[in-house]
Amino acid sequence: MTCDEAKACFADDWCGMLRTPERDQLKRHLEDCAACRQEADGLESLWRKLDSLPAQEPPPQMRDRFYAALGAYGEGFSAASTEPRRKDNFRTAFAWLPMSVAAAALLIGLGLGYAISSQKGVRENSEVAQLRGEVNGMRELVALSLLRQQSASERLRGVSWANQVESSDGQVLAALLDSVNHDPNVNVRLAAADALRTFAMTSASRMEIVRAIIPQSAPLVQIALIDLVVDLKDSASISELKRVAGNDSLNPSVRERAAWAVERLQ
Amino acid sequence: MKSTFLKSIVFFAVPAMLAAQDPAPPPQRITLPFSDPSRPKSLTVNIPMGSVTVTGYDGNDAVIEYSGRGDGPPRKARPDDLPPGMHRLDQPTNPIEATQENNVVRVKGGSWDRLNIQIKVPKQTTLELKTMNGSISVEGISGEMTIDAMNGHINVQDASGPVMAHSMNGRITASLAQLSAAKASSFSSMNGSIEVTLPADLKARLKMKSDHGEIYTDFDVKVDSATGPTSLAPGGGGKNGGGVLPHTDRTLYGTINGGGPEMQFITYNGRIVIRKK
Repeated sequence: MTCDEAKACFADDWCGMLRTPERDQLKRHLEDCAACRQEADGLESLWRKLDSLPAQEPPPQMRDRFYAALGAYGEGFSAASTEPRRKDNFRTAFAWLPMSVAAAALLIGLGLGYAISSQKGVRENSEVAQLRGEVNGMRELVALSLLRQQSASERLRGVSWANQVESSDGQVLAALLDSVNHDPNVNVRLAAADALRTFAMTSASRMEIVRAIIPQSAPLVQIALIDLVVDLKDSASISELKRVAGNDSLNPSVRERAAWAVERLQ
Repeated sequence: MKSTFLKSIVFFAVPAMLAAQDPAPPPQRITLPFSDPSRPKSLTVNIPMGSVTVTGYDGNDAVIEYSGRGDGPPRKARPDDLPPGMHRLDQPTNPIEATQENNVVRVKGGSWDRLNIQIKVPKQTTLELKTMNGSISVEGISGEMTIDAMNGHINVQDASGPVMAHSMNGRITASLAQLSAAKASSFSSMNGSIEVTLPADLKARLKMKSDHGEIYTDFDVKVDSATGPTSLAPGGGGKNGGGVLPHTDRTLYGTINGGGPEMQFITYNGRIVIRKK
């Protein structure tokens, strides 16, 4: 057995996958060749150590994120496939319409042009609805994926995309709240706070927004969140805003703004 | 006569002695090559006290020059600790720590040092720069620039990569080239003004807000009639069926040259100036 052949057998030997004649040949080669023996010993100890490394567990959020992305994609498709079906029924129910209108056109010529344009309108509407569903699903997918990028500029783009999502099952709201609370970049947090304006329709999400104020490190983001709470007109936020106004460790401008917000909401 | 002579000795000698004890240290230089020049490079700087200047150049290494006092950690020793007949030997202190690993150069300074750091890196390097008390200047970089100067000014010139700049109390000035406009950029300051120069033919969507200042520009900005991102949604109003929301904030949305990637300008107490190049 040559040195190259021996080296090719190392891994198989450690796994116990080497047949007896080959194993014997390798053993003999290692007894004769000091260089190979040294290399095999070094690699084998590394091989054993690799076993002792703990297996890397995927973070628990990974599953949620995957299903969030899948859900967003699916929503786009379901919106696209249900709407035209409804329109198709509508179209069959009125299938007689063009014919009768055509007959009527013999009597009144003016009706013809109107009939064609209305039939065309129905078809276009269903296509537009299908496209809009697809586009919305794609926008949501793009927004969620960009919000997880390492580049702050890309995450800012993700917030811009989130602004263009028309409806969401809560994934975009959750992603934006996560950005406001945890994004390392102040500029991204500011943009995410603004984007929340149109997604925070439930009282639970409004409560999460007002609770995000005190833990914020940047006064500018704290002020943006206070403005948002005022815009959302949620009087349940008043007690938390009073806590902000009375918290000595916060920036004076932030406390002033919170006091102003309490007045506005009362 | 004698006392005047003594006085003049004290007058000249004491400052000279103090100067001798406290000489301005000469600039020091560290050169760190990036381990794989073909892969994306990045530079991370975190300096609590002192200013940072980063310049893009055509080389492959990160060249770090620094000057200033590295006082080291505060010492417990007092003058009366000096044993009779002895003098203290100054121990060397290194005010910065610079490392390179996996194409990332990291420069860190101690919180007791007042430093002036100048770094040259390849133009396409990604920057992440942070100071507490000191200004940050960047010139000729085409990678992404993430800059945070708590109490200092930020000045970005000849940028051809996206800029994400924030200062709590400092002014932000920036001049962008066409290339950097393809990506989203953002400038924000609590108490400072924001002055940004953009190429005259730049296509962008602008989001501008100054709570207690004014917004000036020589661009022909097409301002959105309804404020806020709600205006983007067809039909307006809330995304989940709510009505149109009234806005208390003063955010202004608009486009220049037909619109493009979003550029965000936010300041609480400063003014915003957006200039044509």
